[in-house]
Amino acid sequence: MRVIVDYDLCDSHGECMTVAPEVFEVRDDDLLYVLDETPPGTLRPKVVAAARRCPKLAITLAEE
Amino acid sequence: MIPSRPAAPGVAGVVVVGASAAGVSAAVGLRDAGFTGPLTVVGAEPHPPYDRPAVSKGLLTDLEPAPPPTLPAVDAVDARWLLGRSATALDLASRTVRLDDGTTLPYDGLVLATGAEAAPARAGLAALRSGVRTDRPSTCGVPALPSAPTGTAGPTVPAPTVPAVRTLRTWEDAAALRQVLDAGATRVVVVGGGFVGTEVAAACRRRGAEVTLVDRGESLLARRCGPLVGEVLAALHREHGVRLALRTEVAALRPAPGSTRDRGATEVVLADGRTLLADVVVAGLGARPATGWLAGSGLDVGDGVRCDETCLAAPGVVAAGDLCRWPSRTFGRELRVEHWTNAVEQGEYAGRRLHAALTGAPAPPPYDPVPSFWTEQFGCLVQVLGRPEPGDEVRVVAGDPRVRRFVAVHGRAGVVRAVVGIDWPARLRRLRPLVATAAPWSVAVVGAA
Repeated sequence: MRVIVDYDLCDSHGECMTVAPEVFEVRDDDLLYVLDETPPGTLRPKVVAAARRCPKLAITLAEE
Repeated sequence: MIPSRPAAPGVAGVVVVGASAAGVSAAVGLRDAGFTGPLTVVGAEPHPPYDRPAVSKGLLTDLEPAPPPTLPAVDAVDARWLLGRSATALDLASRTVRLDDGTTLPYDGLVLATGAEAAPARAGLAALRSGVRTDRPSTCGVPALPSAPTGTAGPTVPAPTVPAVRTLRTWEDAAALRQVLDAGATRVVVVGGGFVGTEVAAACRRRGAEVTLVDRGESLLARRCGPLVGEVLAALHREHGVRLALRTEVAALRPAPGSTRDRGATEVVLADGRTLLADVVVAGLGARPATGWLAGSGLDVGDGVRCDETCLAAPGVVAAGDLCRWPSRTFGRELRVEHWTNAVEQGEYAGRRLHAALTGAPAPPPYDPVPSFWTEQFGCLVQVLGRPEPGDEVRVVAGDPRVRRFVAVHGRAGVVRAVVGIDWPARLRRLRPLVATAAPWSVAVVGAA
């Protein structure tokens, strides 16, 4: 799966980081960094949960 | 703790009552946990679950009025959707839910997720309570709506006409308000300086309307976000031209002189004696959990559906979202959280919890979140993690409220209970563990700076 963030929508709330810190990090510049755009399948539940939790619905997953 | 019912899922399957964020999240949680039986989601609104926070923000300014953006989870979950139908009764003994169209739905497992309804205009508008309507006129200006005839004898004398007060909860509410604004309504009075009120005031102001915001408190959102945030927001609104009428409330509404039966402005009379003229009045006076349909069911429904710490309300019945009241381990008391992230998180948890109940598996660990909410106004992002209360000790640990970029911690009885911030998401999130662990106040304010 590929993690896609719409940065026009993202406001760096950071809920994704709380749910899946292995994949999402809001750094001290207040920007969201996707640490791994193609995370391993074991992280799928967390990444999917992060996408659902996002207040701006800015995260989508592309199946590849 | 209410003991779970050990049993295999039967043919009836699971019914989810409530088709918004908590309901669809519960459906997702159930399927993710391995539930393969029939799953029916019932919703009173005609739309599949949508982005409700947009109702008081983007819809008034940017988003297209129809249709509302469906949540992606809807397509991802295998369920039968019964939309535009309301549940009217729950029979725990027979495990059935009755709908307003006469249908009876049997269930093995039940999710209660009917959320909350906008509170009706209340004491401040008491004189007009019986006449206050929330109809959605299509013309600019506030319609004069006749209230029911009064008196029991003699000729019927129509009561004085009463202007309509709008509330904002659904996509339709927002679309109707937007239509009125698009048609030229320029004078907006917003009653209530909470989340909905401040967001509506900001959105209307962004559209160029003249906006007055009325609240009983000293600033905005102070009760929910603390005094520092409250003062910054009040200053922000004033700078953007929102007129604030604070420390007062609405005493009366009446048609303005010159109004006719069908159109005209409204006079909003404040308790402090001032009178405002409005083309439209919007009330953001909080929300009440939608438990009316559960009266007589046997469930404890004072201020939401009362659950145990695993969100179980009765054997085979869970609740989630705005509707759910449950004991929080971290906070050592019952909470009911009316925010988006909780609806999603608790919905998912409730689905998993219900699956465990249906299969006789052990319940998951208690639901013990850090409540999280936000608001965006005039380009400012306000975030809260935890639960601020009036009377908290408050300490800024980064930045400065005067420049509108800061993070502060809230303490109560020697324990950190919330972290609040404006425009500093990274810093705020780094302090989340202080709330999650109920960190001692003295240690926290030293370490957090």
